[in-house]
Amino acid sequence: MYAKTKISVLLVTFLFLISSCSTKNDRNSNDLPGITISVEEMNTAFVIEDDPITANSHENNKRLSLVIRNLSDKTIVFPSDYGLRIFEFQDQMWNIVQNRMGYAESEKVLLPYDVFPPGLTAVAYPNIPGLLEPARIRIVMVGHYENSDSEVVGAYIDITLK
Amino acid sequence: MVGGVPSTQPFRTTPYGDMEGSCDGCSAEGRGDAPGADTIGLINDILAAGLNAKAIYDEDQITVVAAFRRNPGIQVNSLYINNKSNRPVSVMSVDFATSEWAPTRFCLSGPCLFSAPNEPYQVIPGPGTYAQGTTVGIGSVIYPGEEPIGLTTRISLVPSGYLYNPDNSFYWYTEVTINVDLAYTDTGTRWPTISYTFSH
Repeated sequence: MYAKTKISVLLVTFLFLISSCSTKNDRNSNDLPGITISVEEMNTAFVIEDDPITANSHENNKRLSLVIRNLSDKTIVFPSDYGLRIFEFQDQMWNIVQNRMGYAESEKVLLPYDVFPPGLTAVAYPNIPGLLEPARIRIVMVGHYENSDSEVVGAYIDITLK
Repeated sequence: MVGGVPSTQPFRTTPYGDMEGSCDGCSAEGRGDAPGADTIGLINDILAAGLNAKAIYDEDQITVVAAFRRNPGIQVNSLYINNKSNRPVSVMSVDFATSEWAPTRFCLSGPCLFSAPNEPYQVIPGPGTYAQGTTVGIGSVIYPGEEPIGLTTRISLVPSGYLYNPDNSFYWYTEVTINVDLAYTDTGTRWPTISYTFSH
């Protein structure tokens, strides 16, 4: 009887540890340093598209043209750099990557699609020094609804950088 | 209202004739490209304004000419876009990239200094010849004109809005690449990126 209880306790403890590890990994795989909005909340107000027309090369340290489309019926405002951050998925975590692109010092305004269908075009220059193998990167943009700084909205797109 | 067609003409709509050099010390870099008559006339206009001109895109519906100065590097001033389609077109993005070591000018206050950030940057395409319908961050709208003449709209690129190079001046450069993304205003359909490299 005592042995059975001991085994049960050990089993429960083992299962708890396993589930804890899994939760930790899941959290790490979604955490984006410096980004206040969760991944689950992204891509609802607006989306980022890897513009197929502009023929992005997806090469490291090359121009990457991204189309931003508003899915909501409200105007979205971005900071001067579109709130754009680039992350590389490495060691089960997202790590910040340099964006070489400079941006004009003004807020960027994304009107609702039915008002201005072209949306916005943001250009990025992802740079991973010494990149030897293709890398999975996540490009995130964060803004807010016009006249409501607290209503933060975000979107991301995953791209393989060569 | 974005994308509406104004009643007044933005720049000029007269047919363009043969090109004749009209600017002392200027060079029409478009000459070597054998552009169409419309483009030649457009380049003539830019030459007359004391700038150099280069047709960086010349197709049936759209012609894009870059107007610039050499001093002795290059200072890219504006784009002249001739729209012969029957639909409005928006300038969605204009950005510059230099060769790795090319120094650019750095202006904060007082005299400008030479610096070498060497980073590509995206400018704000100005409202051009229209002030209406243009909001910062929204592509400048190029209004449609009837074929074969079209309407030409000047899109100012100065000030660029970029702190480190407000007038798009590149000194002692080897290569400066300008990239322009256009889209139809009514549908959002993009053009392939127009990319042109000025070489020394």
